[in-house]
Amino acid sequence: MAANPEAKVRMLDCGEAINAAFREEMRRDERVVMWGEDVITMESPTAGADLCTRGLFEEFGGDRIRDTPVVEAAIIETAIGAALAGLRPIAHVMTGGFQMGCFDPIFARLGTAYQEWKHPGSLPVVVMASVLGGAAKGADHALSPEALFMHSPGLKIAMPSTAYDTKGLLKTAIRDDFPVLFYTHREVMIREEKEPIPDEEYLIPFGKADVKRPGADVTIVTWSGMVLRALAAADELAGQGINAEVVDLRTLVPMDVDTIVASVKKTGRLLIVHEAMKRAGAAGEVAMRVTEAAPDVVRAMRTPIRRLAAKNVALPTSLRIERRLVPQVANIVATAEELVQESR
Amino acid sequence: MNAEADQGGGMDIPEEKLLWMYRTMVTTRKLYETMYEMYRHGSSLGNFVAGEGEEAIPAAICANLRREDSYKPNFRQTSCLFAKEGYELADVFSGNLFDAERGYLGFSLALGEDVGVYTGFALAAQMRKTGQVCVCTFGEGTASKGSIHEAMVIAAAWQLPIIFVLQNNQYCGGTRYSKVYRFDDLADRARGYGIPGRSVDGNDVLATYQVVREFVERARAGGGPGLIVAETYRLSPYFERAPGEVVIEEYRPEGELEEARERDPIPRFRATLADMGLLSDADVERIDREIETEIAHAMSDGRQRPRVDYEQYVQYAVAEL
Repeated sequence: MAANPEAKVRMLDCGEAINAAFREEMRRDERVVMWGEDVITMESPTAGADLCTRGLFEEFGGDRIRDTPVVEAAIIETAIGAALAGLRPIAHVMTGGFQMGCFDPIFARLGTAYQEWKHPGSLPVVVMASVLGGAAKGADHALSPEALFMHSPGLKIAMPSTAYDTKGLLKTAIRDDFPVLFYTHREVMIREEKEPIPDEEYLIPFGKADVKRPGADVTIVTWSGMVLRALAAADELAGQGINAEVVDLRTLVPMDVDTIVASVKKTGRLLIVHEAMKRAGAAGEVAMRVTEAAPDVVRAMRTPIRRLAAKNVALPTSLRIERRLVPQVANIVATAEELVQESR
Repeated sequence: MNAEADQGGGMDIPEEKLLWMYRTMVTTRKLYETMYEMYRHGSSLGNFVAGEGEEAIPAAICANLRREDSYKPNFRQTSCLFAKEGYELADVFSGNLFDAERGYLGFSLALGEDVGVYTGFALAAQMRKTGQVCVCTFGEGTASKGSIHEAMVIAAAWQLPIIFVLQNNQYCGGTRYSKVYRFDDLADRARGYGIPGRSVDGNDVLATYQVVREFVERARAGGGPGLIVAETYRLSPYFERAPGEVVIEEYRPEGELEEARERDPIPRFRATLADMGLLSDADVERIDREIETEIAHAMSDGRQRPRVDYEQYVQYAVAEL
């Protein structure tokens, strides 16, 4: 139900926002089609929410939305072929970890083939998957694979942290003429708090970070589910008189370096936080992009850039262990405090 | 079986189509020779691959396809695309064959990962009810790849209009297929997917033509996918080394290559056409000369076409993002 019908806003959770984005785009363009494992049957291609695809089969029929066998490679490869033939497929591969089973199709076919094949047209494929962090799901379900795919030359990568951003970015992804990897995060999908989503259509461009919380003392750059933890950490830090600015990158490729630089110019401190493992993780890329783009700003920083990310250990099926491997709210708080204290 | 039936019994094939297939096979062979000469003289780099001895299969396939259909030749036969309606000889020399409108979606040198892409073409055809079909060829080596299995599972599940052609040229690199496959008839695999499968003598262009026609017609009518196993023999080495590099092709048992040359599909079809009164010695000579002229013209036309330049090549990369 809309909180305020006058404002034409409805309160939606992330699954409902995804459902709305799919429905609007499939109505708008009959070339938009989708398939994946249990896309129709379980209504939960991005595991963690129940409503992502509810009602789509009934409205659009079995030619445009299909359940596949367990064939991750073929899900991606058929999406490439169908896109080259003129459709705009959304290919669901349940989790980021399962994408290791179709690594070649994503990294090499989707990410490089259309350049290699000298195709002067387009390759409109959206690959959707979930990162199921924070629930001891183990590496196959909880892997956050963005750094692996950032290395492929032709893949855009979206990892939103709110229902509002998810809807706007997903619609942009579906209309993009080139491949997009779109990751939802379990902790975003299961949030009980609904968000006001305008009935009126809106699109969020790729490459625009969002300052989720302004602050003057330290910049925390993060994305996906980790934004929620960073915001919780910022609340705690505020109690200690430290005002953290939380920058949600929203898309890793393209990356909005300008917004990070503007924030660092203000705070003089930069902490990059992610759920994926630290070694060769995306935080290193963020740090170097900032350094290359604004060496003077980096030189004037109060303290060196710091990163906080998961230890280089396979994700366990024990929450007790996972909590010690992956950054928690308390770790973000402690690291931000250190940054501020060492450079007062 | 009498000789005529063995040759596909293809007596309802129009004369001009028979001669077209012959010309296609001879052109394919001569293209290999031309391109090998170019390679030897440094006009192209990388490894040069040829498919001598396997020319009947693409000719039989292309004779059954329309412009809007899709065809992926075996990777060592990409130059055969000239025979697909919509393509011409000069395209082969232009360095840019990729064109979804004409049904060629490129190939993967990682081998096999492209089969699912062509399956996606067939999926789009089914979703849009266009009546297009796809014929996707791969070798018996590539047939081991997991991605081929997934493509066949999904093609069977959805009854997609795609014909998988497993071109068994006996050797994957230097590994004979019988070392890998513990069964004789590779078409038996089709049963595991619940799709029609058929083995055919891929050096018999007429027999191959008939099987391809049957499978293509069924797929076009909505009857779903199929697997054709075309038995042939690779007369060419696995790949030609650059000048100065040593060629080691010791994996073939002594005498096997010579024996295989006796089953070369081109002289074999030539003899059939001669028996049918469709081809004289003078015709053979004339056709050879005509094709050589066509190839020479195509080479000069194709090489004058605009190349993909640097800006074009990089514009689709997310290079600076």
